[in-house]
Amino acid sequence: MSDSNALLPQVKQLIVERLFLDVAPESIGDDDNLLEKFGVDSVRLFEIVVGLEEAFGVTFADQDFSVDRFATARSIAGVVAEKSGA
Amino acid sequence: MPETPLYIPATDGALFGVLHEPDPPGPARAAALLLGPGLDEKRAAYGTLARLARTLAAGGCRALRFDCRGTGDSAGDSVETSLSSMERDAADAAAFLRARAGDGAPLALVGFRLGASLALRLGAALGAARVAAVAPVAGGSGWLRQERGRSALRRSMIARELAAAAATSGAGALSSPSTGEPAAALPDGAAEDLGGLAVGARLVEELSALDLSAGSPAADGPETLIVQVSPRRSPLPEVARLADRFRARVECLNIEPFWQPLENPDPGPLAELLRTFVCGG
Repeated sequence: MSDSNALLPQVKQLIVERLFLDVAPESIGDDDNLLEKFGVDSVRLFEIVVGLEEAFGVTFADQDFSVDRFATARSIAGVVAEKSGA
Repeated sequence: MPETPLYIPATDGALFGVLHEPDPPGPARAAALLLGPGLDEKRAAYGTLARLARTLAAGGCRALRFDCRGTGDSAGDSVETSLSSMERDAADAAAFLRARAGDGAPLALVGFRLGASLALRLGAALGAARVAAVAPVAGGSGWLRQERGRSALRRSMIARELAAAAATSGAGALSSPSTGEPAAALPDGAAEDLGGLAVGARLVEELSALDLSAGSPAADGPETLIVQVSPRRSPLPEVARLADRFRARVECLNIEPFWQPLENPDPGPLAELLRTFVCGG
């Protein structure tokens, strides 16, 4: 878990960039629900997935594509840590 | 600004297109053939491509955008669309554009996503003077995997919303909570459903084999520009490999991906970049 926590700042930065949000990355809470807080739909969520693959060099499989796995910065960091073997 | 809807004679049936004449009227600086994205991305990018075609026309170019076989108003069914058929369509459209112009304007291929991949592959063979490849798909298998992922995320989101609605109303789920959509039978010849489109086995097979960066660098060929659309300010590794392979220069733009169904993506910086590259300063 500590490894995925270390990824949180990068993940939040990526969320801001990919969603073109006008907020500071650190203002996103670890457990803020992106769908509810920023009105993120599946299209925007997919942009985060693409960004994660670019930034972290990870590849997601079919079973990874669940909204719940990408709903918060913490859950995203957890998926990335899992995929990158962190 | 004159825009003429028309049908392009093609190998396997007519292709629907729209021809944009230079504005103001006069000899065209270039004949620009726009090659659009594939599958779900094509629908989302439709409006942006129309705006970009108008920008090129305003820059003194003649621009043609068209629907590939099995898409839009062109002949054929979606399961018949393949990379091979798209390449034939592009060649037919290029021949039509040249014949229609008749003024010797140099051909430019302007491709987007999968269309950009085709533009890079076809540029030299079609005798294009310039190729602009916007966010090309470097690897077909990776793109297919992402398209499947996008569809899965959409189903997951729908399932989530249905479950929330059912919990609120106390009613039962309206469809399978695992998919959010009732299972639908695929039409004959379809390998799978991607974003509501029936995709043929041949397209899946050809995409799986597509690796644009493989092969030796081109000895010569069109002047080539690759546009990377990403927050990254330097070329991603796969874009750098494509640039080596096609001896292209790379421009990095941080704009919203207009091939996603967003509300109002602004392609402004891209429009200016393409106008300058295709039509000249």
